Amino acid sequence: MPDPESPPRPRATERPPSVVVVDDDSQIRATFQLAFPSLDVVGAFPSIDALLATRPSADLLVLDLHLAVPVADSSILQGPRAVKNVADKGWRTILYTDERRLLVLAHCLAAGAVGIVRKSDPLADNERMFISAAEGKSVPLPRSFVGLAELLSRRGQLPELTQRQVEVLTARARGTSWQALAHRLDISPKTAYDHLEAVMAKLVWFLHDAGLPASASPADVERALGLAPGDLCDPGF
Amino acid sequence: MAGLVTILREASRGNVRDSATLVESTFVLFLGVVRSFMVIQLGVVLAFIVGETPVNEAVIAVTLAAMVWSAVFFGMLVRWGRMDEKAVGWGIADVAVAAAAMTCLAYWLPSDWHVGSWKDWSAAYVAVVSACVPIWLRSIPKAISLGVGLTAFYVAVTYPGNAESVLAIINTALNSVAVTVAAAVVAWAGRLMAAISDANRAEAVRLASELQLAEYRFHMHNASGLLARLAANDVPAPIVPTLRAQAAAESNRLRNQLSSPTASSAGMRGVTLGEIINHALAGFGHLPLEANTALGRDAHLTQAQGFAIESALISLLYNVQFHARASEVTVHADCAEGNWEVSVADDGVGFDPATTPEGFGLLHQVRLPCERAGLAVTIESQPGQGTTVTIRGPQSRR
Repeated sequence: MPDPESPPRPRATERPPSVVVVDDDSQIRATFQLAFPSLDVVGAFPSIDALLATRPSADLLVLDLHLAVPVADSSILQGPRAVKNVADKGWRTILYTDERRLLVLAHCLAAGAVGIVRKSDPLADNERMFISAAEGKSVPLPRSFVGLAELLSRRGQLPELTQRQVEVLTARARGTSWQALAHRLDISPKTAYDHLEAVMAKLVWFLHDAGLPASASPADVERALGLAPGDLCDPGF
Repeated sequence: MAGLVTILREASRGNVRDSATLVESTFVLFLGVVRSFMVIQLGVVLAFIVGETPVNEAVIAVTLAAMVWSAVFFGMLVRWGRMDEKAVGWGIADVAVAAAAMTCLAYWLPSDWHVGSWKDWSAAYVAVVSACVPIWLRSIPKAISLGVGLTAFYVAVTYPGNAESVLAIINTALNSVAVTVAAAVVAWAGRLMAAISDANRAEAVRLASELQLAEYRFHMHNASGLLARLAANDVPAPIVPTLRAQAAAESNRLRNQLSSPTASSAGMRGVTLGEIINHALAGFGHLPLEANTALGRDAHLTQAQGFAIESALISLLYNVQFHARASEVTVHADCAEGNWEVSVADDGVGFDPATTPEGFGLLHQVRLPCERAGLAVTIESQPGQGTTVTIRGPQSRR
């Protein structure tokens, strides 16, 4: 979800945000500081166990989604269970992953992650999002979450959305450009973008409040979000 | 081999494809059966009247002539196998022979032999010849007129001197008219059914070949775009593996098309919109593609609708890949209250639909095939504002 007006970069005089990295890829651990010079990397660990052994304090925990190969190894803490574990201990946690499966990502948000950064996106975009998150601001979710928000809204799971927010959500889920959307609703592209930001914030609250156990299966996640297959052809279209 | 035998034998093996030929041959067979029995009947009459008085040689000669004529006529019919223009001359000759024979019989036989006796065989002969007219004369009014006229001629030559037998003459005449009209009705209905059946078959063949052509053009359009892209010197290196993968997929589709040209349109097994979208999107992973399809993925489609939508989506995504210069492509599906829709939106260069005609892809791969499958297509675009194409349709029964 490209931001039409990029947030301002932090001023050079400010203390750089401190981050701690948990990633089983030794290259990423070794080069993270080089890749993101505006961050202060205070620690890099291959696993949650290693992190907990040191318990460094930081503005942001950057967490790789998959910490074990094969991923089915249940003795290693990873995925939503890892997110829940570190979020409960007070770390502000952001996922650093190329995972695209929406329900897996939604499950991680429900477990307490504040956002998702894609490893394959440009480094400058990644850094901007890390800084935003470290400063306690909201970070834009991947574009696929617009589709999830529309689905939940249609299922009546996001009742607090305003009429305008629903209009923006419906149009963006269909790929309507910001320009065309602003023109249609007679508002500025920035206002349209803010409406969608508000929707996404409500989506994250909804996921946090969904009461999903970190050990839930994908089918449990679908059920908890009201997305069980076969009942999507609903009236009210 | 005689034409009639060949046609009927081939028809029994299922090799005669046009119904008109089969119907005409059946009529010829009917006519032949009736005429060959007429020859047998005349032979029996001949055996009885030879040696009787006052039968003279002239009556025997007329009876023999009618037998020979009927046998020759039947022989010609068997050889032709079906009636066409050349049969009309022979038909007129048949009627003329009948009129001449009736005149001779009325003139040479004693008048009390004319009615109620097979020694004057005019009554039977006029009915058989009249019934045959609609088979060689296609115009129903003309055939009935000729049959009725021949019957009137029979009345005209038989009635003088037989006024006391008027009831028998009238009923013989009515019998002859009845078989003529009945034969005309059967011939008309048979030919009409054959014409409808042949027209339907021709239409089916035309539609099938049109579908083949449409599929051929679909693959050619996609493949030529890919080849041009692969041949260009300015292809960015990261895109080359994707183009190669797409070329391999297109090559497979072309090969499948060659080996099973009707596989794509065979059967009416239902599919879901989600399956169709997943198939279509495979191979376009390099596009900045977002698929928000959960709302519509369970919509049920017929096989024909699914095929049209899949082809349309592939074509639209190729359009985006080759022409749109888009930074965002969204495929969205929705379904509610028995209707579904799927849209492809990009934020690329767009075009002005008022001044730019729809290109080959939009018209022949998206709009026309979808509309033929009963689906509605809307295209919204503005220069610089991207393009959105939406396909809508009703859910099919499971």
